[in-house]
Amino acid sequence: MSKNLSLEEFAAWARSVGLNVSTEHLAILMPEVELMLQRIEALQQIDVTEIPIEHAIGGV
Amino acid sequence: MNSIIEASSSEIANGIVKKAFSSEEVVSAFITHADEYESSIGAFITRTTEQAIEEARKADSLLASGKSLGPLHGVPFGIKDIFWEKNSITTSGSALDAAFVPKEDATSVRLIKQSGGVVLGKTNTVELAFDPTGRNATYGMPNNPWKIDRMPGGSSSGTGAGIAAGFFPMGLGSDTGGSIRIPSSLCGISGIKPTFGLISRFGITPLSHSLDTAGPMARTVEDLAICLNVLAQHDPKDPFSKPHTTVDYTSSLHNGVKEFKIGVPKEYVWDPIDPETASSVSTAIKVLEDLGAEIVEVSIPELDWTPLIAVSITTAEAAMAHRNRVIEHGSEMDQSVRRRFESGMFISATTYAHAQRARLKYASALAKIYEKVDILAMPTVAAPAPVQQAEVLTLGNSNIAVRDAFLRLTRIFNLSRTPAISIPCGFSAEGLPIGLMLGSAAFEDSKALQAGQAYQSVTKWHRQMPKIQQAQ
Repeated sequence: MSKNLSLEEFAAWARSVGLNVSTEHLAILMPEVELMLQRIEALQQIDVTEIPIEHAIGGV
Repeated sequence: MNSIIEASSSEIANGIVKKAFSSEEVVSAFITHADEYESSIGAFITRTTEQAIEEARKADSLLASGKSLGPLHGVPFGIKDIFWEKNSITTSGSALDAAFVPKEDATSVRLIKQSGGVVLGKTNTVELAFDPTGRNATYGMPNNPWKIDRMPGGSSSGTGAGIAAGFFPMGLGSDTGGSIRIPSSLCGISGIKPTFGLISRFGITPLSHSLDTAGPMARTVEDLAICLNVLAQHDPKDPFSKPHTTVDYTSSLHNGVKEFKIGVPKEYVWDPIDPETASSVSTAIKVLEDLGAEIVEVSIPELDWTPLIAVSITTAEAAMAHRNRVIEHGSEMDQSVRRRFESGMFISATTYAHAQRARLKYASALAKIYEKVDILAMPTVAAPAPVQQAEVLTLGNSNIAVRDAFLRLTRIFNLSRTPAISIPCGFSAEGLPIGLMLGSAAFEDSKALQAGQAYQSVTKWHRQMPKIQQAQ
């Protein structure tokens, strides 16, 4: 998520995932989404190449 | 009457079988106690008092004719209100489900009833079980029986507060990131998050399908073992339910810890932490050492990954599970819970897949640790129960959001899908309970129970009862 995303751009993104909500609600939601995505950015630094994707997704 | 309120489930079950008292007397004693104090605690969403007395009378009639339904015959239960109960309202802590009446029992509820358990009511829960504090905008946050201005912990808040308050001696909770163990720790009771797949989730409102577990909460570890014997059944109705060899979780319960090697992680667990919690848990680990366990320090650098993986998986799967509800009825939800679900809709498929792969890598690292030790020991929660309005905890030099502080340690064992128990191990200077968490390898739930039982055999923390303040 771009750190410079405007509320309008965030609203467009929200609509693309199915959320059609008020601007007031989006204004509260946006910083929470930004914070969450910033928090999990470091996830990408975990090297998972040794873990076959089919073992991780869909299996029980 | 007080002796019944303070008794463990097994003591109550034995007393009923030996006809020291009837199930009706037991159930009536708990109902009377809850009548007096429920307005101060708020453990229940729905009380099924008349139905419970009727069931207790049936249990007594059966026993009079020489028939026992099982190890829970006539024992009162509280059921977290995300478990379906046939013909009883099951709200999932949500205003949207205030009139939802399931047509059948959740598998675990059915098993409890088949073993003789008597349901006293459905207990409070965070909406859709998606928060560890116990907050609920519709049904209110239960008060912690030890100090009513404190959080009970969640999401199984009502079961935790209800057992601690003496409203029922045993109950059901669910645990996706710590929702059994957090209220167990904060309310001073015992609870187990079993191995993933050991207990059916059929009929339980889902949160995160790859991490959700169900389990018992009670006053003692022995009660947890007895209840696990009832609940650990393969269930084809839950695709994640694992076929497994039937284990008697009580058989090794009293074998002690002399053969056990107990690992204490040197990273992650002890910072940030409240000093009183660190001290009580360290003392508890010393008690296990005095009982004959070998204590070793272990290094698990992968623990640093756990917040990243847990947030990615749980938030995304929660959004998957409740997408339509959030899109169509979001305005009728607790707004903070709503935004948490909505946030999950912004996690990409590739991020989710990466998180699941990282989870497997982490679980593999923890499995290697369990090749060297039988038990991992650590605090359940980094601090005792904060005031209900708290958003941030200051622990040493760290300011940490309450939610993160609560989940930080418990989710270690959700991501590995391995069992962990929380048991009381002391009190803070303010009189608030502190919890010790003991984990063991997958499908070795009996080891964690065995270590917990050894601890409770020489300590009395689990026998303490709060003096409940009347709410203003």
